[in-house]
Amino acid sequence: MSKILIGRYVPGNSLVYKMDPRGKLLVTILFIFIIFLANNWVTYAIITIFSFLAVAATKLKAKVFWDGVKPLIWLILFTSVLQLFFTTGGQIYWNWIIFTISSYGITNAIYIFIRFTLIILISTVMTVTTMPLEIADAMEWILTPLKYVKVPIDKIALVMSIALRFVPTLFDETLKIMNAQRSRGADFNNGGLIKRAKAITPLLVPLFINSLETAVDLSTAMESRGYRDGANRTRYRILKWSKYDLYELAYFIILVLLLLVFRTK
Amino acid sequence: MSIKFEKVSYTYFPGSPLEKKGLDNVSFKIKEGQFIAIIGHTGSGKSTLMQHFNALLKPSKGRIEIAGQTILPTTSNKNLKELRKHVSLVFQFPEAQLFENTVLDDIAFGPKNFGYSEQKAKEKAWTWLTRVGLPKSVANRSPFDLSGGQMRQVAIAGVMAYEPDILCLDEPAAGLDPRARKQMMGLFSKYQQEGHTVILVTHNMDDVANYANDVLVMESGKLIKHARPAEVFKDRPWLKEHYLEEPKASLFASKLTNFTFSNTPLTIKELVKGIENNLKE
Amino acid sequence: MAKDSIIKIRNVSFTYPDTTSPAINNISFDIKRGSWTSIIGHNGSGKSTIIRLINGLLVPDNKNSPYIEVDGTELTDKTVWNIRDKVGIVFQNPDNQFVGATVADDVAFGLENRGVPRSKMLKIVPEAIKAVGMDDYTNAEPSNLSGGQKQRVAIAGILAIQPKIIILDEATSMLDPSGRSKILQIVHQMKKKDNLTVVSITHDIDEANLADQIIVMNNGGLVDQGNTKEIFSKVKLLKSLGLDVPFASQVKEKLLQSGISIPKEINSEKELINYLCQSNSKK
Repeated sequence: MSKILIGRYVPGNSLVYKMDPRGKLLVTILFIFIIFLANNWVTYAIITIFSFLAVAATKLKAKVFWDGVKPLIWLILFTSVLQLFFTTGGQIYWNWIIFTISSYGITNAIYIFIRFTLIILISTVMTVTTMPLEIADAMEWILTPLKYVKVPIDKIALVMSIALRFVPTLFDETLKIMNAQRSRGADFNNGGLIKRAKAITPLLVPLFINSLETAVDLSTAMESRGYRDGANRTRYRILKWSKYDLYELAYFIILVLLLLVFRTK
Repeated sequence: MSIKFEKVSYTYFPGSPLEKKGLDNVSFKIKEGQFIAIIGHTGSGKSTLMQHFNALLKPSKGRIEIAGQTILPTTSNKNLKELRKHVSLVFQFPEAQLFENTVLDDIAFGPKNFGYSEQKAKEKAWTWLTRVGLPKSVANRSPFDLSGGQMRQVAIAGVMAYEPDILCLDEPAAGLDPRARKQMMGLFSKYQQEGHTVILVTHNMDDVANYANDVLVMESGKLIKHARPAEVFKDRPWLKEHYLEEPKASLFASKLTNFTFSNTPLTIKELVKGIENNLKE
Repeated sequence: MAKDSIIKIRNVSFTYPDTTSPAINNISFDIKRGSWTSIIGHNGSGKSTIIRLINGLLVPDNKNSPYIEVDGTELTDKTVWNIRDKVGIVFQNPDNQFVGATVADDVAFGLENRGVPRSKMLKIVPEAIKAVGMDDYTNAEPSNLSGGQKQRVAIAGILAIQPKIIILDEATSMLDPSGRSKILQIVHQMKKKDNLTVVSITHDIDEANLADQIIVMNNGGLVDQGNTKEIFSKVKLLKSLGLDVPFASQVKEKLLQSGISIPKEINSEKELINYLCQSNSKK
């Protein structure tokens, strides 16, 4: 009976929520490429401003985004520090065996830090404002061209949709089984690695069996409801573009143009 | 020994937008060795209450004394085995908890966790395999090869094999056919008569009438009545007001408008006796 | 044989793979159009197997020339999908038949499968959801619904296809009493409105008592068939099969045992109560 939110979706109704998930997914993916257009302070400043404006447009608390960055902060810092000590170029400030701090090193370290952080921020903007099912629908749309090389996109989409629908249900079932086994004296929290690995069997086996049963029941129900291989299925749930997606497109195009104009050739 | 709940409250997800009161200032005292029924419509807090018996949930406020142990909001999760050895919980459709390679191993899982030696655990498993009514031939078969009803029996054997002082069950006979149902309830009734405490969480008022000698009525997380079955079922308007069903016997009796019953009949025996008395006057 | 039978089963047997004895052994029966038939029997008596034979999920064993007909059409490889248009089944586990991500998505599933144009779906889906009283939950996710609510959605999904027959395969056994009665109420309403035929497999004696026809199964064989009053008066037979008998029949039986005379024709609860009240005022 948990109303747990899967992924990091936070309910809301600001501008970003009104955008089509396909646009958001595409922009997020393209962002990862266009960020490499930035190669000087001006362009980095531009892309940082645009990113922060996108974050602000979600009207969500900063904590939500910090929660997205936090798990990766050490990786980001580590990579930046590597850049700092191992890039040479420009004025050398300090040197010791293989470690060098140079002006290029400092600049690159800062650039990498910014790149990493902005990518995470923009991905978070997407995952936090788009429900998992919408993301799945968006992915299906993006992969549609694969239909022409005989990849069964429709079936994959249905499988993804059903899998997502069952995540909360399976989660509840896991809690139930844990409670049942705890009541029989099972201990999931204590003991060394080996003990805990053994303790997982009373949880995994029932879950697995339960999932199998669910799969069998589901396929029986689906067949009874007329689901057949190769049929031309229509779609009830569809995605529709709106004016908000035009705003998003315009925003993105302006960003790319500015980057192209102000980058160092 | 008794089971004592003192001003127990429980809040789900405190401080979050999903915050909800599961139990609201529940206090009661039950003598052990009874057959107790917990009733209330869905969402009344029955299963929240049940999970407090063996500290799967700990009270947000208040104090619980059960099986010689005390459970407080601050009770740690570390040493609960002793408690759970004496207070056993069985959830709905318990066959979902089966996992071992053989029936016997699965029944022995509980006892082994609670400190029984490998040999003693096997002995207990054999004893209870037969006591729940399973044939000896299933002992070394995979529990997943059995029918649904038999799997249920294996699960029940598994929680009774370590002979807990207090056995708490949530609709243990749900989905069983009438014969299997009767056998299962008979098993619990016998267990209680042997001196153990049986707590039954149920919607089936006939089971309450036929087996229980004490009833806790829950509504919206509060304990709204604690009385013997006769007391609870006597007040028909009260039952209706709280969306509670009544035993078939008392419902039938209420339709016999020109009959007088000295006590509201709760079981078919009492009903028939009452009808006889009226007709033979 | 019955005049207008919407389902005809002749000489059907079925053995599950890897088992030796048949789950269904040479059964024949009819289901009358517009009736509410309850199939009762112990777990493993073959009740659910019959259902799966009716809509072609299972194929009968190849002996005794089995024949299955639904609404005038013989069930074959070619007609199985048409038959699934006419028969809607609500299964026992509310979660394991809920395919869609939301209520509306799930109700639309059957329509999507049949290539119904979206414009039509936009009309049918809300109507079906309304018919089962779930309009406030149109966009709700299944994990936020109770068992009873999920079963109502299952019924809506079936209604959307407009079948002639609705089968409840222990559809209420995992629900609490209020969920159970709500489902039966809705099915009863639908039956009246659309003149549906209802087949319900159940353990619940009160649910079985709502039917007008009863089929009694035991160990894969059909033991008895007839109208409800008739079957439930056979207390000894039902008890010997390990089955429940309606409360009123039990009361009658016990009263007879203690020497109180009750005429044979008195079988339903209403009749028994009337008779007892009359006897009480006469004395």
